[in-house]
Amino acid sequence: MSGADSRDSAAKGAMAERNGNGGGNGNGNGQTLARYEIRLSGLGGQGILTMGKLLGQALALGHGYYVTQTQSYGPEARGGASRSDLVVSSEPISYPKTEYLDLLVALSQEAAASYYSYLKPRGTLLVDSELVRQSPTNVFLGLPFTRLAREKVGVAQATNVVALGAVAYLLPFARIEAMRKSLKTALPEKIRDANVKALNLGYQEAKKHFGQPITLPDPAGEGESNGVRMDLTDIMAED
Amino acid sequence: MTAPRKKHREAFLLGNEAVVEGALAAGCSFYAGYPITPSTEIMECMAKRLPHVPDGVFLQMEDEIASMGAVIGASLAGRKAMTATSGPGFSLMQEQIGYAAMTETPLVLVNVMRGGASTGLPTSPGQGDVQQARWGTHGDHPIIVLSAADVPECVEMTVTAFNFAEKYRTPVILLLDEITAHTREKIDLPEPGDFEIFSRLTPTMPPEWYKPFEETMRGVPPMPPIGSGYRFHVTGLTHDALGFPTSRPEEVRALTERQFRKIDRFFEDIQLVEHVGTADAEVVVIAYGCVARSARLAVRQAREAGVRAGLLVLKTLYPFPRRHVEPLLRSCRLAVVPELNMGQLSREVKRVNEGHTVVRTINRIDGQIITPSQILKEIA
Amino acid sequence: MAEITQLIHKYLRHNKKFPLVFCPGCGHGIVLGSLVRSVHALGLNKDDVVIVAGIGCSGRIAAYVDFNTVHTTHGRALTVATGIKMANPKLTVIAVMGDGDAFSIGGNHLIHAARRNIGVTALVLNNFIYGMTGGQCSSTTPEGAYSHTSPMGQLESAFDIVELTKAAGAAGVSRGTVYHVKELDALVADALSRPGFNLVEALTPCFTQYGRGNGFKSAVEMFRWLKDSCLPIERFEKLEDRTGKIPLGSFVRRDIPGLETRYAAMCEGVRRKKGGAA
Repeated sequence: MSGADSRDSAAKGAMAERNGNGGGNGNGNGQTLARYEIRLSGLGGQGILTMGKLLGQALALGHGYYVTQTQSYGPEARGGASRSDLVVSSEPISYPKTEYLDLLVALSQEAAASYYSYLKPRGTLLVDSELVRQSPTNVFLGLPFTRLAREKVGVAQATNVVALGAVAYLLPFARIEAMRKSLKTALPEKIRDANVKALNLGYQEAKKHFGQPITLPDPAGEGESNGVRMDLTDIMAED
Repeated sequence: MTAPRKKHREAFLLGNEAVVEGALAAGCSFYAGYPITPSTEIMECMAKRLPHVPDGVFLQMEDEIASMGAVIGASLAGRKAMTATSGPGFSLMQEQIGYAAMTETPLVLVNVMRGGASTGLPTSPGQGDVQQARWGTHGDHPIIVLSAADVPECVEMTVTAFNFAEKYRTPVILLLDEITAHTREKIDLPEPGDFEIFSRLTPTMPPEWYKPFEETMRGVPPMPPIGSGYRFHVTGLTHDALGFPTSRPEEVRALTERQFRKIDRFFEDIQLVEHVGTADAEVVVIAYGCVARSARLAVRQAREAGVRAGLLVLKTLYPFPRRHVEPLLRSCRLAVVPELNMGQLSREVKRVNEGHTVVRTINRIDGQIITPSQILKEIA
Repeated sequence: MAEITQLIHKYLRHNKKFPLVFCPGCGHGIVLGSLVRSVHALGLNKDDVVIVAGIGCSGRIAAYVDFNTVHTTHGRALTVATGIKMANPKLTVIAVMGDGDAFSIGGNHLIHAARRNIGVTALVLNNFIYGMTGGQCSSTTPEGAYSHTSPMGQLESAFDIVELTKAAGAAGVSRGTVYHVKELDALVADALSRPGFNLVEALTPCFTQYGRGNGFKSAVEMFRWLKDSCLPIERFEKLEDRTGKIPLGSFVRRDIPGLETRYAAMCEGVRRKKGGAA
């Protein structure tokens, strides 16, 4: 039970996070990352929750980042809206939920409309360009994930993994090999090949259409509060 | 202290799944339960894992009362046993928690707190079962209540729960919340030797000398598994040192006082907290569970804004860690207790405050987590 | 007499104060005797026998016998017994319960114990009344009978313990009385030696709380009533008019392995499959 009752010195105290089992050393590919918040959203049945788990697992295990992944549960998770949130950081994560999004993936019109307001200024909005007819902003990235899955992979259910491929390309700290590995360990053999194909397709399409991956706002390393607005009078809308 | 750490296998797990890893690492070989959101993953995971554990037993019972009954039976038969539930099931278990406390039967009960009273908010977090965990079953009884704030802590505190149960012959309640239970994070899968593991002491004297509820140095009598040649009586009635019912005042008093003393004497071992920058803090946040995570970020942001803020994370809720809380209340100008209820742990903080400082509460009961900014507003 | 003395010395607790708590005329002591004689006849080791009892007069039996004894809360004996049996299938686990215990507050546990066929013997001491709390009606109190909570006569109908347990899927169900002691001994011994969930209903009069309020002049009269109204199932079935008659004997004997046995087999299979694949 090491560290269960340790009194930190004040100097480093406020900054120190538990150094117990968390364990990740945050340098899978050498890129230091301040708190980075992602929301994957869409409709029940689009595989949003699986996508969240795959992405989280890849970033946590394959890259060595600290990741918290939370999701909508219950009736909300069946039919209706579905979402999965991830916080990624080189340092241990205190608050596990998202506050202000760096990346919002929306696979439905409703999701794009509901969650757009949580995006940080200069945050990235990625949508299914055929399902989101009306983007809340003209600054967004779009690919027809569902059509790509249906026509090029031959499985409409692989939409989420096509989108995951695009996310893997867009995130400058993500490595496609690690994503592929996460996919292979998490999915049953029967559907593995189709999904690897979908992942690669998403990655290639993103590369072709989006040009450069996302540029991270600021060289990180100043701690996870870096990414959160510091105006003390500003209270979140949901409060 | 733990052995030097080897290379561990990592896994990206839910808090609920991490509880199972902790339980198996602690030597748990028996689970009986009844499904209830948001604790169900613990049960489902146990159903898959226990058949692979030597002598591992998994049982789905007809309700939560039966689940606790089976866990008590298994523990009497020598097993490290546990169950998991959420609010409505926790209410049903109260009868058997009292029986376990009275008969000094070690067991672990994980209660994943949801929001609201009654059926409430099944898929949203809450922390409304804190006082119930302490006083939910009738009559004076000792109990240990722990909490965990993140997924690695789910492993650690489940192991701790089993250790305390075995060491002190008592039911131990581990309070999680829906956020902690349903957040996925990376953990190192426990390997043998990672944790110090306690197992109950069994008697070494001849059976005819054995007195099952006798006073001992630690106040914790040794406990043989049923069927090992020590035949004795177990009852929920107030009993004498031999375990037989009694209503003689001196025997009744001796039993109850010993049951309290066995916990009271070991506060130092049992009361686990984490201090984050409290040494020079003029504002102290006292938090537990998922709210402690929000508080961690808020305190950090307050420091960056020039406020000398500190955080006391309570991992043990009961016995209430007064020896950690009281000195902070003496030295700070403001204590803030954020929690997902109408003010349950803050009652304890106010109880030990005795006018030392200002205690402010942040209470949230709408099924949403208290955000860092909500706490920051109170402390900065 | 000598043999009885031997049994008393061997199976009753020397450090427990006697006499029993039971009222004069109570049948519970006879069921206790039946239990002891059955364990003795089967040659079971005392260390391997576990008595799990509930609350009420019947629950007190546990304190007197020199086995591993667990006196649980009201209605929960079978839940604890299930845990013990699954944790250590080598033990002979006997749940001793009253009618209130087994079929009122613990009714749900009973039907599920029967359904899952946990290898536990259930001994239900049916006296048609809540004795220890002072004579309130239970779920086996006959329609029309008087009690402190049915002062104008019981309006509700009574459970037939045998039929209910049979329908729930128990491996064995039987009924005896404290008047027909030899037969009761045989039924208990049979239940103890069979796999799965086996229930024995023992009709045992409570003169203090039931008999006095329902027209019986003495405890002896209640035993006489048992003698006159109960008969072996074979004879019962031949009766034209069965009014007021109660059949005794074994009603179901199914060969169902206990849950603990099926569970062990499942685990064995799981491990073998895993070992084979590796």
